[in-house]
Amino acid sequence: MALQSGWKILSINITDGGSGYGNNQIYTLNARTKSKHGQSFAGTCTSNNKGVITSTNISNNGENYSSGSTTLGILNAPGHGAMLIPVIGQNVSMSISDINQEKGIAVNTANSDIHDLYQDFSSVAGENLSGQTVHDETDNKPNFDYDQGGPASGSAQHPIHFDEFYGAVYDTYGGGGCLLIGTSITLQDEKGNTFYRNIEDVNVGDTIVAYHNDDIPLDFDSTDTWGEWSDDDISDTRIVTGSVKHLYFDYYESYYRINSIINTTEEHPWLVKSAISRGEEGSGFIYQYKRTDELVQYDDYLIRDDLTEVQIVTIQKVEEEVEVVNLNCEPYDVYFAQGYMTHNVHAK
Amino acid sequence: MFDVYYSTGGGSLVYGGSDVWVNKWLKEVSPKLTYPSKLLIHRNRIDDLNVEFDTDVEVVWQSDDPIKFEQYIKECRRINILHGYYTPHKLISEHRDKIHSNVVHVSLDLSLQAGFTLNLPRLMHFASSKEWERDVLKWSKHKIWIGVQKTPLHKDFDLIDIPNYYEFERNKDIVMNDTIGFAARMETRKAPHFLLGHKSFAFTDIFDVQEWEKKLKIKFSDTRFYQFKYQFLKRFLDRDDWGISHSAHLNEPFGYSIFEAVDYGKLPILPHNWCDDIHYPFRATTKQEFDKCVEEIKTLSESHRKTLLEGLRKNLKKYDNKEEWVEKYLRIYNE
Repeated sequence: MALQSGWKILSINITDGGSGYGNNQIYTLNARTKSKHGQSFAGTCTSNNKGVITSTNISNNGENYSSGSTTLGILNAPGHGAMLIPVIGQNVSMSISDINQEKGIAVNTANSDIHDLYQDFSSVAGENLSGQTVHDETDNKPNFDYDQGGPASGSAQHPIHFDEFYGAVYDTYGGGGCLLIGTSITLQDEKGNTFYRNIEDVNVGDTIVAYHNDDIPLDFDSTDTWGEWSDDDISDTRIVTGSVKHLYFDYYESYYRINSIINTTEEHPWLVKSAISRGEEGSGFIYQYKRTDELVQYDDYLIRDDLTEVQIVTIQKVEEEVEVVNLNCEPYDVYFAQGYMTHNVHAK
Repeated sequence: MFDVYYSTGGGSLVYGGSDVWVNKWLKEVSPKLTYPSKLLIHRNRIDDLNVEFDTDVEVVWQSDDPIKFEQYIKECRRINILHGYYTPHKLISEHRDKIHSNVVHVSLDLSLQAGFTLNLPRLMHFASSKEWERDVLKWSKHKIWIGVQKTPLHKDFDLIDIPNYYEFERNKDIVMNDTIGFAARMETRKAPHFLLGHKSFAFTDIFDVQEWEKKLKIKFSDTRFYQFKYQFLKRFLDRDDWGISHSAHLNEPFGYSIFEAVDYGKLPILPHNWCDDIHYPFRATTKQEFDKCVEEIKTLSESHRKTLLEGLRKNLKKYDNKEEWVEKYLRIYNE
């Protein structure tokens, strides 16, 4: 199957159903592209009896659409706020011959040398953030190497994406901050009552008791924003509830035991009150998040759900293989483990 | 002069069967090579990542010293590809005349079909080109296939079959538990979505799980995922809280993970076309077949499961001939 028909709109994600649309109405969808690239898409969306868009239907996936530059509009609709995100991709196999044809080069001609093809292909996405061409003859890594980047995105001329492929980056294995099995997590039942469950028995979707302060940035998909936050007062915090989004298990070769009650891995972040020196003004305290391996005996205090503090008096590193759990909750990121505030950590 | 052995991985950081294979080669074959040799690892490595190789052979990482890496390719007598990339690489194509041997670890023809065979909306696969696979085979003097079944490549190339070997070491009694285990990468042909609806444990890369959930919109609600770390593989396999192995991986070439499951007392569900000379009742290549196998296994008594496991283990022990494996490779490398 050749790629001449390029990338299609495979499906549509409704990230927001909007409001004010007609009750139980069907509307025509229109695919728009910046470069007028892509054609033939046909589909509809349907609103429910509250005027919210709840479903979509694709009757023609179209062709030659580009990810990142294609949006969907709802024609002749009264409402607003709906966000329909097209999933652009290829649902057929591809081959170098296919890509050759995509480029307009006849198969099996002198010009279809596999390496020339590769070079041309990789140049589609061969620029780094500074606008320099990467993977060329001068960077000593002239080969197309998926792990070094590869053709990560397409362009209007070459609507080719390899994002359905994955390759192992030769990196340390995943993982992240975790708590040992047996750690008690504070949850809430349907009646609003607090109860406790061992972390290994928590389920995705459980209501978790969380903590929030408007000054704390939420989550850290790309950077550890929790590490940049500190405050000398947390009295404006509030106890809220969130939902358990992910639970991943892992094995570690060692762990830390804090105050003989918390068992956690080295990178797991905790909310602590830390003693600091303020020069001539004497000493004081700030609230901040610290990795377990950065905690300081006697200087740091763990925080309970009633905001009382418990001084860290023992930090013990235990060299022992253990099973641990990584818990991620949303929309708030701070939950209670063994009754103490701790930040969730993404697996990767 | 020296010979170059070219690989994309190996050493203490193992991601898959090809890395396991390279480590077996390092341990069993490399000490017996008669010609001076160097192992070239064509891979990026982050700065603080220490990957240890238990060998006296000089190991050069492409990302550590790309100039030296290329120089060795230019100056060597022969290139032996232990495990190559599935996409075009200039270093190989420009020195195609030197390729003495090429070990093929997976049939791209078959593995790329998995997305369609399984009727999934997207293919989860590492970057690959079927044409490149065939080009490198054309350029290689000795073409070696590591699997237990023939592939479409066998029709077009004079492939030497040297199936991998596995030495049973645990020989654990049957684990009587109906929870399913899965210890494999989450590429499409491994069919991880067969786990849907079954209480299960999976030992795999969490990043890949997220890719499946994000790109294929598949939610593995009944599966507990453990982050794959090779050093903990045996710990996962030795658990007594799962007893059925999801080994129904499409077009599995050799399948160390299948051997491991059998070694650790798990009753596997196998693909139809894997070791098809062995009579074994639980085979599946579709979700429906898989579900049926699970239900049938659940009705079996412990003694029945034990009989099946031991019969399978006995049959698979024909693949434990390490000496023959070593000798066949040495014949090629020391030619």
